[in-house]
Amino acid sequence: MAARLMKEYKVLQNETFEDILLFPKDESDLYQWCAVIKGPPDTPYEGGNFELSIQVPSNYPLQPPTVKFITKVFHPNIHFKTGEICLDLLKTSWSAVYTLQSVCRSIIALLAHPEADSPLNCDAGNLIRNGDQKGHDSLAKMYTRIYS
Amino acid sequence: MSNTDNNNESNNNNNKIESSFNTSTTSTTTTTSNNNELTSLTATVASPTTSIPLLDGVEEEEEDKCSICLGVVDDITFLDICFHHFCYHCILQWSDLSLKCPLCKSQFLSLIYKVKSNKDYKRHILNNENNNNNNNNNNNNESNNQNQNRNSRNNYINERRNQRQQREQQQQRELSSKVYYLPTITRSNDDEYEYRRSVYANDCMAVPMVPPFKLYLSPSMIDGSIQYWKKRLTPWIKRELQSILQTDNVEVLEELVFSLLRRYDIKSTELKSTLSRFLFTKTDLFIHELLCYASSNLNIQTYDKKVKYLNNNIQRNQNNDDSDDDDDNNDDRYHHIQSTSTKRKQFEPKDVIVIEDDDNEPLTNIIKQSINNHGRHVPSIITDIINDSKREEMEQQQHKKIRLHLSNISEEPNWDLIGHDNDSLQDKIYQLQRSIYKLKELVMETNNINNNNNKKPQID
Repeated sequence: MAARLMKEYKVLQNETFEDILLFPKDESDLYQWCAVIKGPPDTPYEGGNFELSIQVPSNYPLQPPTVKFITKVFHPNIHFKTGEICLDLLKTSWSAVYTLQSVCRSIIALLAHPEADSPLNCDAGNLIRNGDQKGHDSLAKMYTRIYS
Repeated sequence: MSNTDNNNESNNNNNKIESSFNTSTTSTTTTTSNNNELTSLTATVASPTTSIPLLDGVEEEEEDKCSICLGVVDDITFLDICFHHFCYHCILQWSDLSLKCPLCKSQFLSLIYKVKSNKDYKRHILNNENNNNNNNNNNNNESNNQNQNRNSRNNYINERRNQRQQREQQQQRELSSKVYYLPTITRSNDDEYEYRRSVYANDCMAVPMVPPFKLYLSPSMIDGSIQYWKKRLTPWIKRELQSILQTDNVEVLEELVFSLLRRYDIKSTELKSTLSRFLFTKTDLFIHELLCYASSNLNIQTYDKKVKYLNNNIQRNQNNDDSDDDDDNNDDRYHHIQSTSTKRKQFEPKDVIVIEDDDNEPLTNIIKQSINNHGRHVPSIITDIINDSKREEMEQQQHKKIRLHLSNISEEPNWDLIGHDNDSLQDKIYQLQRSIYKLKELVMETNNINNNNNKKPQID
């Protein structure tokens, strides 16, 4: 299904987005991608640029790509050390009509709407679950300043 | 010249008259050529490129694109539940992993493709029971191995195997002999109540004519067209109630059952518990029969002719049968029934096993259900194809009419009569004028059909 990746690549070459920068690491290998997303406004991640690494499986789009944060992020659903992302869309509820671009877009949405009930970062999750939104936000803001 | 003479000679003169109406016939042929152009356009799906908003509103999609491969749709395929479309290969690969529509996550059960008209299409029913299949395959492999081993041995063992087979056949005969007393359904035309009574007396379940996922009857469906369902269901309910309760006064219950159907889903416990107050042990069967009939889209007479019945015991024996021995057993069973049966035509066991492949269900029905149940968008590609085929049909009918009319046109007047019998000549001319006028009308109608197509009618 490399044809599908070629199509996506062509579309991306013609379009530019304000909050997403998406490109293959090496033009000869479309199965390794790199993305830079902007932290959504009115969130503690505002002003940060987050780098993602995207690994596309050979049977994409039947299987979802593996996406990881390269930049360190303080977020309940993102592993602080490995950058692993907990997002149903990248696992069980993947659908073949999603594109790399729509994946990036939903990761931006995840930044804006953390799901504290299934945390990969327990510290961040616990802060929100204990009602300390302010504490969580300020920590997230601090890490955003430091790392991105 | 008398009228009878006219009729006799009219056939001979048809050719002459047809040629004299050359102008009108050529106009019809031009309309057909236009029509061919139109169909060829829609067949290649080159014309409609209007973008439609999707349900989630996130993406917009062109009609001729497949959202899985992002390319132009190859072998366009629709899902049976939401009518989203993809390439046949793309969606087939996806269906290996999941039976949820990639676009709207509706659970789909079959792929509809190669749509040529309302009834001319292919349907790929998917089964997600890979595990079961694997198990079956394993079993088959094992039995194959066994067979091979056996074959490699000598004749003595073959003989013993034959003996064993005979013994098995004997056992199966015994099994099947237990079956015969069960299906004593009488199908005499004189007394349909007798026939229904026998169904209920023997607990024979109808074999559904539609796949399981279409076997439902919901209040929203009935509310969608109350008159239709009332007309369709009430006679059935009446007959069933009369057969079960063996009384003619069922008006009140009839009303009650229908109003229950309008309030509760047919599979709901509320409906069941209410019905069981007067139907007792026959409640489940009543609901099953009603559901089978309601989902069949046939009227009572046709349904009665087509329906096949299954008894749980028969089903069990069937599973034990070896395919090789089926015919013998069936014949045995049949004879058994024949010998014990009365004069009435008895139910044949073969009917139980073979479920006929019926014609394709009209696509419009599937689409209607999709709209009723989900309110989903139906792409114009598919409606176009259906409308095209409908229009073609109508046009063919129209052309038939015109041809028929041409063959019925009265004979050319005998111009030699000028001055001799002016009255009859005038009559003839008047008749001819009327015929020409009628022909013009028919041609206009044909043109209108063409014009209507350009407005892209919707299925309602």
